[in-house]
Amino acid sequence: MKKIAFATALFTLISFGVKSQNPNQVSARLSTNQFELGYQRKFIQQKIWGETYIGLGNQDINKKFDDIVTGLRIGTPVLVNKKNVINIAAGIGLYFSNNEIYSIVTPVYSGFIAYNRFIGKTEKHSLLINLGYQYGKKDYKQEYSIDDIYTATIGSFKVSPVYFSVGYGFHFK
Amino acid sequence: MVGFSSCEKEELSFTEGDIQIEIETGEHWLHDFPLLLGITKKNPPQFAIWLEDTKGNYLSTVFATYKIATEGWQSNNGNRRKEALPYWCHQRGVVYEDGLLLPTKENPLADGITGATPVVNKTLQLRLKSFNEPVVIKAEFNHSIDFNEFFPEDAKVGDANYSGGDMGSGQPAIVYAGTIYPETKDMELQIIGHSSPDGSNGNINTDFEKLTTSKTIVGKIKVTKK
Repeated sequence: MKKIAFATALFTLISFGVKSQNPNQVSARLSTNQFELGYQRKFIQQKIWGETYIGLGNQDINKKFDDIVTGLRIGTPVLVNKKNVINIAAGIGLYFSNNEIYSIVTPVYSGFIAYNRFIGKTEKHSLLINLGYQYGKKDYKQEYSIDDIYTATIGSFKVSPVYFSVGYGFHFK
Repeated sequence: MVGFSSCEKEELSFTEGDIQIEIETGEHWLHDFPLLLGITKKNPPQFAIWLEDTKGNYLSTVFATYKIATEGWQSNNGNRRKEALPYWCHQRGVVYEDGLLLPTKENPLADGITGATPVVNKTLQLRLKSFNEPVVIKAEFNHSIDFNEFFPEDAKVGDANYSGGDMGSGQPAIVYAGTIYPETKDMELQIIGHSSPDGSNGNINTDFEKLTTSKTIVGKIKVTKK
């Protein structure tokens, strides 16, 4: 809770004096490792936004897009002009691995820069580019017995540290 | 309830008589694998560890990496990669629907002995309920596209150094072995040779002259009886 309060205070401080754009949006983002849908709204204070997202990932052992990713992000604009907004943001999420070998839920923490480029005159549409770092790692135990033999080992799941995505945002009031 | 802790650590709990197998990575554990536009990915090797009796009879696999154990190759265009770990396949001797000795997507190895290829050292716990006779521990390791001048990418099918073509093995798989006796405290597995480059047989070749980086995929394999 202290960390969340600290992050909120930090964002408030950083965003002081920066002209706001409308951050309310629904979005779709694609990266090499996941596809996600997001819902973002300004909250607490005009210049801080929060986003919840859900999507599919392919980072576990079978490399199929059948894992679930979900989480929350908060961010604030640090550079704004008529068409462009650069935000800094932080996130906390969960990665639900889905494969035949292990079933684990891995917390994922991220910090990234989110760029919005508004398209068209109405400022309802935008191109979204996110780039940052994320961390999520969890160990799991595997055991097997057959006849007179028992074997066990520890495996480790780790999300890719680079978070890069490109997407589309639809803005609403 | 899911805790937001990424630092939870699973550990193996050994009891007296258990056998610990520790694989220490070598200089060439990670190998560049091309993705696109010159971008490469550091890939760890495929490997399998299994037990035999002292007469060479296969007993059981204790670990195999996911791709070979489940036919989980990416972009292999139907190539089953029989050159990957041919000695293990032949010792195991299970013939699948297509006549090959490799597990399939439909009939993979058991989940409990199939795992992700580690990028760092790997430890296995082994417990033999009746450990009265010596047991041979064997392990086989191989990288894809690990070509060198003796096992080149352009070798032709039928050549002695053909290893599966442009996305094939390159240098053949390396095989380690060691015998553990009931009274053994610790030991190291030793390289006993390399496998068939094209995976066409289960022979062991002891000519190491033509191997370069493949000899240092593994640092050492330590076996300790608790």
